[in-house]
Order: sequence, then structure tokens, then C-alpha cells
Amino acid sequence: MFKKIVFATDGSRDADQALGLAATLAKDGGGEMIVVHCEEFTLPGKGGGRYPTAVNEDELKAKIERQVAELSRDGVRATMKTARANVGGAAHVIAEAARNERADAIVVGTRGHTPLAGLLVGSVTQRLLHIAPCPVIAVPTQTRINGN
Amino acid sequence: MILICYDGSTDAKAAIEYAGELFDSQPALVLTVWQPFAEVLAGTPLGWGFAPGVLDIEKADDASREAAEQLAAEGAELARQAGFNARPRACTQLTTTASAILSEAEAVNAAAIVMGSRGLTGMKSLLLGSVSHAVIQHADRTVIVVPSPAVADSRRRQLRRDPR
Repeated sequence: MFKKIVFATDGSRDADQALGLAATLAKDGGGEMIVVHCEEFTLPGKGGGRYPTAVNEDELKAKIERQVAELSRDGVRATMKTARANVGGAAHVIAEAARNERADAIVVGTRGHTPLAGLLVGSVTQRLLHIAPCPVIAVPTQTRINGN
Repeated sequence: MILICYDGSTDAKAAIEYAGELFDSQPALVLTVWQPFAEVLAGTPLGWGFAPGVLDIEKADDASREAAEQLAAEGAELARQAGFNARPRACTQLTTTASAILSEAEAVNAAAIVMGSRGLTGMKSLLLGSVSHAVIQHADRTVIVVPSPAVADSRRRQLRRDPR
């Protein structure tokens, strides 16, 4: 049923746990995975420049590129899309990608059971719930996918 | 077991349909959460002083329970039409709707929780519709939040307009 799955990732381990489910959905439906990574930048201050909010942004990007290559090797059609936004803009970028691709679902990884970290880390997921033009599938840490 | 949260809204209906395609012919529990009248009263400025002799709390609760059971049954029927092996369940909320959903999910060891996005867009959705927020925040299982076609459409248009 799923022709297009947007997998939103920031390259973190929390995001990684949702990768398997996203890939399974794409594979089962003979569909395609769009791996969306949004680089967030600080707002320009008096000091001038804008900087990525993740200090190891290059590493993260390289890791996601490897993941996409691996998916393709496993027979999942996957393409990577990177975008840039001001800090706080990632959810919007992901929702836009889902709209442009006419995605059937947005899959995101979240941290379960950590209300405080969730306030900060999960804010992209929380915002997506309000603006996503398609269903959002949130996968928490150590989730069970097909256990009946 | 898939836990489907059902409140009768168009989003909840869309959620059932979507989940039916995703989890074909799996067992499902269709849950409607209702609030005992005592809790509703406790949340009003009138509080308990309003209740004695004016309203029959038991009668009010019976009506709420019946309405919830009817809703759950309606949801279960829709879920069966969507391909689920579904049964209905109505339960009261202990503290919040989200916590009731989470404890039911725990009780049946649900593989996933499915819910509608409550049909809200823009500003309204920032103020209301916090049930799915709270569920995602605290769930240790996959949560699927589905907007109705109408909500999805309006969000699509909204995205085009909004500058980043």
C-alpha cells in the first residue's frame, strides 16, 4: 500500500530505530523511501555567521549517506534529500517533503519515556503532528513492530 | 494486537481505514475513553457543591458509559470492515485520556497504537489535540497518528502558504 515513505532522520540513534520499519514498509509495498535530513542552522547573531546546530553535522550526513547506500544494496529504492533551515524549521521541511512527494507516511524515531528529553529532542515529531499532510508513524526506542 | 483509539471523529475513522491497510486481518481492540461525571465536576468552578440533589451522578455516568460503549461498538464495526478482527472496549480515564490509552496498550501488549489527529489545523491544533502528543511522549510502542483527508488537504494548502 505504501508507495512513498518519508523517513525523517537527524542521524541520531533515536532516528535509526525507525529505519527498519520504514524500510520494511517501503519494501512490502514495492515502494520508495525518501530519506529526509534537515540541517538546522543557528540564527545569525552579532558575530555574523550561521552555524549548524549539530556540531558533528558532517559525520551525521556521511552516516545517513551510508544508510541510504545500504538500503539500495538491500533492494529498497531509497533517495536522500537534504535541506537547510533555521533552527526549529526541520518539521516544516519534512512536512513539505512529504507533500511534494505525495508520501503515504512519515516515519520518525522518538525517545520513549523521557519527557524532559522529549521536550527538546522530540519537538520535531510533536510539530509534525500538527502540520503533516499524511499520517505520522512514531517509533520509540526498542519498539516491537510486529509482535501480536 | 493493535490498539485503535476511537472517538467517532472523521480523523478516527480515517485512522481505522489507514490502519486496516497497514495491519490487515490482525486482532484489534477499539478503545473509547470516557470521563466519569465526578471528574468533570471536579474540574469546574462549581465543584462538588453543585452536585447533591441537583444531578444524579450515577445516571449521568450510566449515560456516558452507554454512549462510550456505543461509540466503541461503532468503531469495532468499522475496524471489521477495514479487515481487522476487532472487539470494542470502553474505559474510564484515571487521570488523562492519554494515560488511559497507554495503560490499555500496556494491558493488551499492543504492537501499535493508532489514533486520529483530531481534525485540527493551525493555531487550534497548538492549543488542543494534546492527546496524541502525550501518547507519543510516553508510549514505548509505535504510535500512528492519522489526519482525515480534509485535514490533510488543508495542511497541504497551509504548507504552501507558510514561509519558513
